[in-house]
Amino acid sequence: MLDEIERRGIYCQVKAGSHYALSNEPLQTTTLNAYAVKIPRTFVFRSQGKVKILANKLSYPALVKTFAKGEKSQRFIVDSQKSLLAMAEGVKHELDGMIVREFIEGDIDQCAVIGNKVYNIQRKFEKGVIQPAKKAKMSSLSSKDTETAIHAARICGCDIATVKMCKGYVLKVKPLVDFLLYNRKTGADLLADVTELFAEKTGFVKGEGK
Amino acid sequence: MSEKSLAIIAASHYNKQNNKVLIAEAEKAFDKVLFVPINRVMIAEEKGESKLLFKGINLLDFDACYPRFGSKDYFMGEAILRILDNSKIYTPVSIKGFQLSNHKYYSIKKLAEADLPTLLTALSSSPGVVKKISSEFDFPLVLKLINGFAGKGVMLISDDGQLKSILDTVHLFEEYISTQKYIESKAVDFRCYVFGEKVLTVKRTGAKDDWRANISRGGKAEIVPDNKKMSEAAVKASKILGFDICAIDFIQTKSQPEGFAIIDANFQPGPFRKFLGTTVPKDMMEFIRAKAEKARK
Repeated sequence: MLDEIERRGIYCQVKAGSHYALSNEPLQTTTLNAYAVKIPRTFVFRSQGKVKILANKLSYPALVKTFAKGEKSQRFIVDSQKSLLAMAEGVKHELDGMIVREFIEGDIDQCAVIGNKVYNIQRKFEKGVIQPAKKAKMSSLSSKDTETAIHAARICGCDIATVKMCKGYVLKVKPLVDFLLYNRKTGADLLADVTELFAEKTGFVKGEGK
Repeated sequence: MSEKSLAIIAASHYNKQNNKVLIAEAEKAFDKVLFVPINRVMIAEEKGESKLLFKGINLLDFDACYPRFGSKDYFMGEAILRILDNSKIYTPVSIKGFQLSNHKYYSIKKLAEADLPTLLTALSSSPGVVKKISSEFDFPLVLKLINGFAGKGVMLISDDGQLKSILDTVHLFEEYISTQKYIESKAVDFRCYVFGEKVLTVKRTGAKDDWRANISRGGKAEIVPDNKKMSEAAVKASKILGFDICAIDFIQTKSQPEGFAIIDANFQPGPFRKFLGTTVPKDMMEFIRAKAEKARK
């Protein structure tokens, strides 16, 4: 569908083919890394036996995600080699794969990217827990992190996206933005920005029609 | 010629006999061959660098890599292909090709846009589109599951009732299907194996009482003289889909001026050992070797 939209010259905020990287986490990670976006140290594999090989090479804590039947099935933070091995032993069902990633401890910058504009809300990391988005507060980003957020969104084929970062590392890109949340937290009108973006991309001038 | 090495990344459920033959031919063409089941690969992303690791060996240090996995291995497969695409190692398949060929509708769409002969094809999942489909296509028509292979997930539908029943089932499993016009072919089709610019044409005849020409379902295969136009179409199709090695399947039809239409593209074609011996794996390996010679210069 995205391919057909693009072929007909219709503007869309997600590009043809972007759904692959947006729906397959290892592909997204690899793609970001390939385009020099800073990501945490990440390992992807299918066989649980690989965990034993990795366990003494990782720094802890580490984030572990398991995937089955095309979707994320479980998510753990493990704080030691022993707990990583125990977690792997406990997985009994057939997996599509596992991701083990260096866990970056710090506040999460959750950025809404709308074209070249970025709005950031920060979720505090306290006592080992990341606060939920509804408790996040608006926070400014360095120009470098702002560029990173925009670059990450573009690499994944999005003009509008939510980019999650921590200490400058990109953790995830999603093609959706919770506009109401950001409007509330930032006082800005993100939907007006979206309208402006679409107008710019389509050459629409208000009052003059198409 | 300098020494060259090849890594073959096999599917999670690979055919042992076919791979045995492939490895044997690879060992004739390459100085070092490593067979790697995809389940045993580890992807490492660190410090801006990517590695494909198998028993501590980085597959990106090889001269060539031949990935032979399908849609079931997409979780690792897409990331592996992305890494290979960005490396200097030669590989005859691309991530674009993998993604396109695993979607039976999307691949035909891209080929049709390039003015290659294809059959009328639609994409749907909702039972609500039954009436629309049946008004565009005459019965019988062919339904294919988007990720089907080796003739599996391909159904011949005779009427509206059967169509609705199948779509209801497909919808239940949240599957998408591709609908294609049915062409009477007496269970015969043509598979063009493409190796760069070279084409090997194989005529497939289906098993008795099967309308499909798949060998895995009891059919037979024989090498036939190339049809120049069909070969040109196959080479063009392979380039559009992003493959140096693939198989493009054709059916004869008067509905196209060329006299044939493309019905499928296959990312990891089987070699039909029983009928063709080692012809296909031999050609594959010689082609990859020749490319590997140029790749790192």
